[in-house]
Amino acid sequence: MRKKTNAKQSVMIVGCGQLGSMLAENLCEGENSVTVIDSNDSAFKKLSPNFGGFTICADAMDPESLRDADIENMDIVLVTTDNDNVNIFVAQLAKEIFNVPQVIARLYDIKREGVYKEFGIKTICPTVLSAEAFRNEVL
Amino acid sequence: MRIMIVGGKRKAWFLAKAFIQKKHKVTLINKDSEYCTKLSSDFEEAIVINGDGSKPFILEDANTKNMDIVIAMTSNDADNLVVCQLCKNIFKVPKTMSLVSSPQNVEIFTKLGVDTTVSSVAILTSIIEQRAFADDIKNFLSVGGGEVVLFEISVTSDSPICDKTLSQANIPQEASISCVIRNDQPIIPKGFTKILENDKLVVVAIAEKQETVLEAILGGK
Repeated sequence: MRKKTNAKQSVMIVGCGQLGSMLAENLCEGENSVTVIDSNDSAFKKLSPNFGGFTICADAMDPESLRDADIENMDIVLVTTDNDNVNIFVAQLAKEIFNVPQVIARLYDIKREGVYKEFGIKTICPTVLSAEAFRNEVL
Repeated sequence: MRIMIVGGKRKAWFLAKAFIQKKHKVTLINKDSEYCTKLSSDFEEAIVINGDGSKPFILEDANTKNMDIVIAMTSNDADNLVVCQLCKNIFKVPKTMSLVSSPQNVEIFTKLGVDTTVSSVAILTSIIEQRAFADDIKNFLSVGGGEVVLFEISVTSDSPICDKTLSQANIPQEASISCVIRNDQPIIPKGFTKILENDKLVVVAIAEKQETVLEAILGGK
């Protein structure tokens, strides 16, 4: 993984699925402060017992829950639930309402991606990444 | 007008019916294929599309670029936001409207570019709240983001305002009597208009002063 700075960053991860939990553990290994939010308490079982970040069971589509989770002081918000529209909504809450400097969302649908670039939200599309990886193997 | 309604069950049905009666061209998009069958048999004039209206290719199939108004009324606020933003940004629809479940999303959706956002919960609770305290109020309407209220009240013989002209009556600064309905005839009142028993008054008032205004017009109870 590419290291940007050594400074401690506050990172919020929304959605503790396979991607969210893996990211949470990876980012926690550095000096970052990591908070993971999921509406389902049992989702946190995916995190290893020595995960050193915070877990909050809350609905990330509720701005009050995000505020309670201290979103206003986050440097980075990563949105990784399995629902594109939820990710789009939460990413815009983070960016436009809470002014988080860096917001990245996973979007499965490539076509929606274009629209959200103009909102200043970086998106990552698994299909595009996989296609690239496959192509690199073949060519 | 060409109007598209995305999602929604009974609300979408009644809205479609109202628009069709007024001769608008209606397109309905719904995820539920059984409901689509019902919609298309009930509304022969409407175009019904079965699919997820938050997907760009469904919107493209539905000829969204030619719509005048798009109304998102699914039960999921995130879906509604995406429908409106796609319609606005990709298909350049002039007016987008959204229903929201969570009242706090009204402000957020407006900030994120949806033209009109309606929270049925906020509207219902405000109507019930107002009616719970004042039986005399009818046709209550909240406007200007809830800061201003508009309502109808009936004058009884013991109202302090009864048999006085508007200029004699002690109407608080925060309110104005915009219309008097007498024997089903509307009158736009002037200072010399005398308020009579059984008149219905259409009052515009600052929401937080509503109690004071009611007391001045109807008297304390």
